[in-house]
Amino acid sequence: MALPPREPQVLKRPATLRRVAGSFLVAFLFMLLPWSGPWLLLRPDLMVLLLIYWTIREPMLMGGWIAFCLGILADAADSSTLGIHALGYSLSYFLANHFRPRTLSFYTANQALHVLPFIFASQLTTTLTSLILKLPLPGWLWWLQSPFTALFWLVLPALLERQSTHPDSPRVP
Amino acid sequence: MDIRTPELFSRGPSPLARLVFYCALAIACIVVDYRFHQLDAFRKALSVVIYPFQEAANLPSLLADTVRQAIESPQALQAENDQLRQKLLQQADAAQQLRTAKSELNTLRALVGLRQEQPEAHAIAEIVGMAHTPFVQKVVISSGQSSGIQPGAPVISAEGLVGQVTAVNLFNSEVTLITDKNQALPVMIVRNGLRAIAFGNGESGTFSLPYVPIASDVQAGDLLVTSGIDGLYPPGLSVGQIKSVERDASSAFAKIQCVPTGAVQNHRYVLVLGVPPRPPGGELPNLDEQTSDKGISPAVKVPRKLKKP
Repeated sequence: MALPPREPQVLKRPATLRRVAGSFLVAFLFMLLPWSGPWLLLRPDLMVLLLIYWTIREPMLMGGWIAFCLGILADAADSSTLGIHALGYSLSYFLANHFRPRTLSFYTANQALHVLPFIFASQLTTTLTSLILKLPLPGWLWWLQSPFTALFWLVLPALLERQSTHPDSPRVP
Repeated sequence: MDIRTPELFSRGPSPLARLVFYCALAIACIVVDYRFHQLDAFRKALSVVIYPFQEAANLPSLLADTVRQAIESPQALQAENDQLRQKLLQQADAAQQLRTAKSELNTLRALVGLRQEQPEAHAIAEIVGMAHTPFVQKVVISSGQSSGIQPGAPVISAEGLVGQVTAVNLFNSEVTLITDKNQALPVMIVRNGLRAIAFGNGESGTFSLPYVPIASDVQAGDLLVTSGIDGLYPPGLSVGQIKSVERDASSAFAKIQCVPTGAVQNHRYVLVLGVPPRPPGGELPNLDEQTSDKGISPAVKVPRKLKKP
């Protein structure tokens, strides 16, 4: 019995450093927008999403120190105690790096479900640390932030990989 | 072509060891920043780096405001102008009376040998954003160290007290609102002069008076002003109104919920007051001078001999 014909797979070019840095810059500006009220609780954490995305797609470009520095930057921008986001981002980076081969074996929609725990790990760490520092727990909408962030995973390949595909790239039949 | 291949045979620490290292570093940062406030200089330097990005991120909302103002009809602007003019006239009378009263008060203070009230420095600042985390109640104002803003300065709006400056960067400052969970404020009930300490409730945008005895004369609708006993907030600033009073026989204290009068959501500009000079007791030679220079200075210094060994 003949196997069904597979879709021709496009060999992707590695992302340039400029593209990775540019995506983090956009995520940082997105974070600094004047969010308030319920939108502040629901604001997707694109920084951690991109951290996980690039850790899975371009592991040679990412490192623990990048996760840590992004976390410190997010803390300074958030006016929160330095180190809170750094802790969460470091944990997310570790999880993404550890489960990278497994995550890559799924389609984009399934990958979104797989990265949700990585995103939630960062959010939970941030929340628990804030609770230890005697800060009040935000409203229930806060817990929707991680699923909301994971939804953005579905559009990331379209936004970040479209131009990585070169028309002359060899195609795997 | 950009080719990245892993370096063979060069194995650094294991991923788990790296995770432990970065987590330990992050926890150390949290402890040093939260407990010892030793990262303030680093945070200030970071805020200078973040400032242009923050300005860029604020551009869309500024543009939206400009467009809204441009399409607003001239009639609406005229009506607002007339309303403000009337308000100014109404307040002119009160301002003149206040000036006379202040002058009399200073004369009387001089007669009885009390400290003269220092003229307080004022700076008008624009609210440029809210804190980007739901865990704290803070706003960012457009004036910073370059405008002479001091940490600890009270911040008011046209309606009443908004909060206190808790971090001063080079170009902007953070104001912790009175509704923040960690913000405490000495208040007084206008009707009967009862003093209490108000604590913020966090996200709900309200504050409470947790340590008022159950038998105290407190009613819903009572107006609250600053009592001025901490020496930081000038007395008589409008703070809020008591919304509800619950008296539970099982507790020694009443549950009193209040709403602030100076809600920041309706304002774009605030007034930053000066930090008053230290009381005479704070200038005694046997005081520990190091404690007051870290973070926000307490109103009264604690003598070294009274401190715990």
